[in-house]
Amino acid sequence: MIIEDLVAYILQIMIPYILASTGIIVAGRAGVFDVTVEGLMLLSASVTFTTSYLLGGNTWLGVIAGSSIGLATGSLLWYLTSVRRINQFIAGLTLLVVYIGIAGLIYKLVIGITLSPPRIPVLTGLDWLSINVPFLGSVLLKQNPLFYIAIALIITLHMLIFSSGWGISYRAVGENPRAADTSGVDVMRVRLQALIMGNLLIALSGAYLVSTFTGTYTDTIVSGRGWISIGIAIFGGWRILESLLGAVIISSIETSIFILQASGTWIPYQILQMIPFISMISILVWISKKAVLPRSLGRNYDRESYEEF
Amino acid sequence: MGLGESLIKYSVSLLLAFLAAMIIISLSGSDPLSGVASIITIPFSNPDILSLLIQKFSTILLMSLAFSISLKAYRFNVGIEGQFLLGAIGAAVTGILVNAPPILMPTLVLIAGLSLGALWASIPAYLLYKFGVNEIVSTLLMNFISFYLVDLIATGGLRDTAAGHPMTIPIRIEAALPTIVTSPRMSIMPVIAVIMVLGIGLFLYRTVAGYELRASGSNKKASYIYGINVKFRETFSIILGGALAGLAGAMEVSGLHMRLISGMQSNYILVAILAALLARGEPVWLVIASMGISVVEVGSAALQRTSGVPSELGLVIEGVLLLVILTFEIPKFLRRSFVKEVSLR
Repeated sequence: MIIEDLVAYILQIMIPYILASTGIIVAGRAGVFDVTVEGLMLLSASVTFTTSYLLGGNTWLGVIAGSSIGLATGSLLWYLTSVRRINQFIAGLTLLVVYIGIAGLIYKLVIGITLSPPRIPVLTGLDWLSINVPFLGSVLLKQNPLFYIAIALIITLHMLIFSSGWGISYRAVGENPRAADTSGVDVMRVRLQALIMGNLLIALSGAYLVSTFTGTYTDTIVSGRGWISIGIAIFGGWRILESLLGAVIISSIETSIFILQASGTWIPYQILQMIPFISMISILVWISKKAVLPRSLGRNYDRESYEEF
Repeated sequence: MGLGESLIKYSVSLLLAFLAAMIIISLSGSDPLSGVASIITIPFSNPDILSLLIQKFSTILLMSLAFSISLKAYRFNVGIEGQFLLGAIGAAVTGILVNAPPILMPTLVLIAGLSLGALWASIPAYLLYKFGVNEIVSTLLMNFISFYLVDLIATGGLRDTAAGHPMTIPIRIEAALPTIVTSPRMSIMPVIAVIMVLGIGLFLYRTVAGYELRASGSNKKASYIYGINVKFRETFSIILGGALAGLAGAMEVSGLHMRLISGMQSNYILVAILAALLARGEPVWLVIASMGISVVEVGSAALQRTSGVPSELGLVIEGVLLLVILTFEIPKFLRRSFVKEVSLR
């Protein structure tokens, strides 16, 4: 019983990390380092909440609206980095700030400044199973629909990118865009696909936070999950299934903290709250020696340039 | 790029940014023209709000300088928020607990903040130097640790139990920064900030170490071949940035709030990054960019109080301005010079 609850909790808090880090990897494998994650998740959470609130508490329409933000943001980041060839980190940091601003703006424009924030109904677990499957069955089979959508998405994407013919030319764009270009791969187009797919996933992650965890929007709803997701992507060596392990580790740490807090420990809660961030930094140090990354990650491709990159 | 061309570029960008602002203001049900006008005029309308503007300007200037110095070495120190808070912690704890001769106290408080900020920055800097850990992720994760650290101290033994919000008791009266104007009270914050900008500007453009720092940022390979210790310069730029951000935090504690307050970091990190990118990390332009951003920030905060337009309007104006300016840049392949002057691409 207790183990089932634990697993259920870990699975719940794992999903935003998995979605966001998969989005980062999908973009990164085509050579774009997306540092807007934290802001994009916040923006998508805000759009999800306000849409759903305006439509009278329809959470699903909110999720659809919130995640489709990724279409616009992905194209925008693509335009800035691939067409205008602005440094990826500079474009990313600027967009990050703009997204954070717009997220707060939308919420305040729609809801206003209130003492008690309004709520939308959260997505609940499926209850289609009448029989009781022993052990983890009841945990794995009774999650909310978004859980299964997320798992299906990341498995499909992993197979597409890491074990398909299309995936080879896709990853070539992130490793050596000049070679890919020479062999007839349309680098610009692949990067557009990558950024749109990646940003859709990251936006879905933000929508998940509102629609499943809280049912309400606050400025602190993301609170570092985006940055931890970048850490998870680095930990996984920019591979989707490997980065799952990172998400499991971080989620397990958060779960242990939750249990410790509930048990009324003498350790101040602020110290406990620091632990996921400290662990993420330690994990990055631990992995640094054997870290692999797409070779042209963070570099814009310029066909006319004489330089190597 | 000629002067006329830049003039057109910047005025069109400003126009577009304020056009975006007018759309947002009319969406929230106010008159767009008078709204935009009041964003620019309110900050100068009375002495109280003017002093608020100058205080904001000093902090934003120092914070953006902290980000710029690492930008010059082509590193992104997005941990300025945490370094600011650590500086504030250092200043508050020193100002409350240390009992030194009154004449030394302000200096001691500033030095405590500066060194704690540098110390906090030296952790990700060391990780970058030794293990090559990506500094964007590590410095940002350190920010979150610092939020909880501030909360821990502000609710711990030094807590002001009379206040509802987590904050420490005030620092000693001798530890306060000297004032230049008494009513409304204005400490020497802007003086310190401007001196720091001049100092860093001289360092970057008039010393060998500063030249090597800029060289590491603009062409890593060439600098390495010519014998510059690139890794050390990068590390140093992050730590120097940490010291400046720490100083900003110490200044806010000893020149403005007189105590450590949970959440005092405000949105300084966001506006400081925008200011630094707008100014390309050039110390002289930083003064102008920080001033413009402080005006928009103070103006939009005032507009929220008077007509209910969300204060995030400020961030959107500044962000759109920077985005349009970046978009206007001529792609690099049009200037195929071998040595790159601007490291922003």
